[in-house]
Amino acid sequence: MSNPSRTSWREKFTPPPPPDLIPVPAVAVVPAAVDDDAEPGPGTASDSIPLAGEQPASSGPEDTTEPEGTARTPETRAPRSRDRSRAVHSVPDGPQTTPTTARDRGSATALLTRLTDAGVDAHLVGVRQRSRSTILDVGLARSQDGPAAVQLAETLAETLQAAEVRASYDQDTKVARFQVFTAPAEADTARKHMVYVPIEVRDAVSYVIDPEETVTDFFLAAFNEHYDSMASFFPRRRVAPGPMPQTPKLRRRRQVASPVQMWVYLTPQQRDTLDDAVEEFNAGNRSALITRLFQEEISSRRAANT
Amino acid sequence: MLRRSILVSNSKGGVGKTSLTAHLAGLAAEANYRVLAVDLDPQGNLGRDLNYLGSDGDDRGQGLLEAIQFGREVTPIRDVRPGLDVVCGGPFVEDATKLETNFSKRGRDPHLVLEQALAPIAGQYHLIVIDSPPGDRYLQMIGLCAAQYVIVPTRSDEASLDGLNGLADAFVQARETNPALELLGVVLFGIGASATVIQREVRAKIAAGLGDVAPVFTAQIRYLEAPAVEARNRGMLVHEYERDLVAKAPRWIDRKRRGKHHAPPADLAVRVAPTAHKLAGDYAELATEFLNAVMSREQQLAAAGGAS
Repeated sequence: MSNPSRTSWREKFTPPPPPDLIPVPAVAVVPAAVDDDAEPGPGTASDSIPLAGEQPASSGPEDTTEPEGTARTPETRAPRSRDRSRAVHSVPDGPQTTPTTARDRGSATALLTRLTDAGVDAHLVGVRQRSRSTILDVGLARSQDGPAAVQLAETLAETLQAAEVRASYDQDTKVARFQVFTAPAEADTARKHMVYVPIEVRDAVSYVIDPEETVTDFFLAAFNEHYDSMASFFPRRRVAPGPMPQTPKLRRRRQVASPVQMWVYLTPQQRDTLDDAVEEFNAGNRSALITRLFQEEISSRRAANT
Repeated sequence: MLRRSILVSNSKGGVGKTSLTAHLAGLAAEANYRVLAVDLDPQGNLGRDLNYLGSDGDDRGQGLLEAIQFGREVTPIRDVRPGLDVVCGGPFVEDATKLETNFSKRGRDPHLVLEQALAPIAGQYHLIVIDSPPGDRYLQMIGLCAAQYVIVPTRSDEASLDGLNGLADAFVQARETNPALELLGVVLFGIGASATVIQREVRAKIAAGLGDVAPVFTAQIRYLEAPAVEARNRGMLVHEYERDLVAKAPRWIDRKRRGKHHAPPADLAVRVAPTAHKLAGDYAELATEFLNAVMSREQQLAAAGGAS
């Protein structure tokens, strides 16, 4: 039945064997117009999108959970700082002297504040990422402060929104090590939530978003900053006689662009808060509220940049 | 520059870029290479050739756009064929062009964004094949700045050869950012097998236009519409179509004999393009020549590096 008389393409296919894989890093990056030594400031090198090898806060679209450490609750999140001078490029391995994720920055700041409040003169000397924890190494000016710093760990968990904080002190180097364990999975696992926003809004978000910021970060910042004015977003209208509500057909005729999909990663608690807000402020659905929040945040960032 | 990465490009559309990308990547994967195919084309036609269009992993270029925009690690669709992963293209990729000035404002070289997006995963692959869009200058440029080699498919018509010259301008510009970029060769695509005079003329024009910087591959892809269309409609590469359908199909004489007095049985009802083995053979020859060219060039570069 089959036709063996034909010349098979396989006879013509005599490729060389696969070579060895090129070890990472696979690139010889041509220097970009980025000066890492320059003093960071708005619109300069430190604003740039993380370069190859740097780990962004959120992974690709296939992931359904956000990496630990980025989960936040809208109502408990601290106001977004516009101080960009702390933004740095991350290094994949080894200790760093500056935190690279928003959560680590928050933890480091909170830790140093608590130590200062306790009368301990301390400064951050290293940050290490572990799969379920972050290690913050803090240098102490006086060796007698070591035990006090270690004792402080017991009360730090709540401040740092962590499941547990362990501390140790090395007398020789005068370094106190704080290992911050993030909250265990279930309750804090951020899940992907699709929302639909007009394409213009998505484009505008892409223009104003900070390079190191995820869409989720952008949403959380918008939620925090505009929560107070949300009541005015969707005023309740009295039902009155009038024309029929516009149908999709009419919308098409008016050439209003159809929405595009975006996604945010929210913990169940954050999602519930969002849903409560949708109901409370009469937004109708999550997408409508998020779209409006994005518009407000875009406006305020543009205003801040001009 | 991403090592062992090849951009398939021509400023003219319809010259076989996507087909060539799919087949070179697919055949390299057949030869046990780990291959990453990257679709930079907003039309996203690579998904049709490799049959992942509309699948769960097909994000229509959103992942690639966000990787470019935010510097995130791109997440390819794994194993669309054994050993072949794909970074999807689609309408979202077009939005990258709007970000060009944004990158510049933020002190980021707008031409290196693709390289930066692919660099974290490049080490997992023996070969990266990038399909470039025809019209978009910026997308073509980020492809040129990410790749080590360029392959240029061209047809015999003047417009295709003009497209080749258009690419030459972009190539010169890209070399300022990516000095390691090399033109691996030109592929004659969709040329009549018996049109030897035309073939000779086209080769002469290419040589006149590009000098000796661009060797023309000996292997060429002839114009055989039926197997090309049939394979693409089935989401198969031509060699897969030939191997899985045509080679197993009965010869036309058997088909005719058995269908004479009765309705043809189910196995004979499948219409197959009998010339598929010729087209598959062309792609196989070209892939062999292409892989040999890449590997021998790599050895030359290694020897030159060792000597210096």
